[in-house]
Amino acid sequence: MNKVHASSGRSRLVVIFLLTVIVLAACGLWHWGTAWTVSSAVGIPVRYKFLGYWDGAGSPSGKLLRPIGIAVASNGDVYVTDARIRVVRLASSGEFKGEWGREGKGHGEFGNPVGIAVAPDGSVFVSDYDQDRIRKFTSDGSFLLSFGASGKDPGRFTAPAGLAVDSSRSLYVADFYNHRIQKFRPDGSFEMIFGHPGRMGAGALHYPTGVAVTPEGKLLVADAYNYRIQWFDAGGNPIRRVGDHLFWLWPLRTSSKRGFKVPTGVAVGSNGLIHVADSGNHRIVMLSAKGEYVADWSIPDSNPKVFSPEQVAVSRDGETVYATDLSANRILILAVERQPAFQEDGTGKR
Amino acid sequence: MSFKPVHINRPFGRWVGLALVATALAYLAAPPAAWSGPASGAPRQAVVAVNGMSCPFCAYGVKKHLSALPGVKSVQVELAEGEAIVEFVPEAKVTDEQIQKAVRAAGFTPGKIEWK
Repeated sequence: MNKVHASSGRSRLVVIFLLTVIVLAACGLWHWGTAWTVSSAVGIPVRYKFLGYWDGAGSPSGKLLRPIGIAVASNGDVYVTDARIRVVRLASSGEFKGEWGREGKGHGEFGNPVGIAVAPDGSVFVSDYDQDRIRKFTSDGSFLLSFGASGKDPGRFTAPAGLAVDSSRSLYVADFYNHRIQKFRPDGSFEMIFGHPGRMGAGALHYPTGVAVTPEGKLLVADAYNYRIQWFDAGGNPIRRVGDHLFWLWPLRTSSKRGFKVPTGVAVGSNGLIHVADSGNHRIVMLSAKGEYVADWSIPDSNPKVFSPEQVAVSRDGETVYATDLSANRILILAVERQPAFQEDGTGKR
Repeated sequence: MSFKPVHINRPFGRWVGLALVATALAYLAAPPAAWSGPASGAPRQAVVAVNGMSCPFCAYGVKKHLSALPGVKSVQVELAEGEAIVEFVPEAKVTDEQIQKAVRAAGFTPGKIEWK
């Protein structure tokens, strides 16, 4: 009889212990899953100032229709891909400068042009999401080369999305359904792969959509459905990630100002400041070079049913940020503005 | 216990055989249940609800996967409505299961499919 009592007491203790462990684990996961890990930057007094938007008026084929990809050339020209199956070139003033492309499979034709990047020599790379290939053009749209095919092998794509070019004109491609970034030489030959498919841990990517190269040559990845930004060194080693959390396990509304929800685009200025198209939160987030939160700007009249902005680009001097707002058929233009100086009364108040 | 052979009444057996043949022929002649009975010569349109589709990259993924189905004429994805409108050529024979599989391959959960 005593044995039975002792045994049932032990069982109760085990159950209480297990319940405690489960509750603590759930609390820990909840905290990890919903608490953002993006810390705030200190001493970077800059913010976004909305300058206006462009709708592509003046283009013979019509105004912008669901623009998605965007890039800025070193001369300030802005290139945009849109649902009219074309590339539109705009001056830094927003004035229409040219366009090319139409639906098809030939040179200068696309199935669905999505990503775009401009190399230091002015050549323009465009990713074709439907045809799984990359096309390269001169700055005014003359066809140069095409590479890539459908598949999972190195050098092949399954829905290539965002693009970036580094100072040596190598191209980085966000390979959406293959959950990786691929690097190509300027002639289109395959060089290496960054990242691997996964939901957790360094280097794991889940539907990456955007890429950018920092002034130091590091690769930034908009790891959209892991809700984070990741850094890789030139050798492909993951070195940092921000916004790392399990938010995707809890489909809760974002309340923090420093987390991401489906960050689909990323760009870096020459000043090192990073701009993130935090599409699920309908805003653009500015980070320091270390990935600390600096500022953000939300689209005031965003369509809550469509994630936007999709992609982001920054001018060479780092002072002007452009972002595609697909659902509103426009390009958003923001200035990176220094905030008024703090009052030097020791209170820190403005 | 001894086994007793069953004697089948010949006229009754003939009727059973005829009924089986007729059922088999009817089954072969009829389209699978998932085929939604296309109006002859008219283009068919499937309106597919796609749950959780908000991101344009995903929407384009849905479009890409649905476009790969046999007999697709066009695919239009309505992000704000959360649905894809797939138009087929009249002779296309696509099942609901094929459509659902394509939506799943794009990373989404398919919802109701409405044929028009």
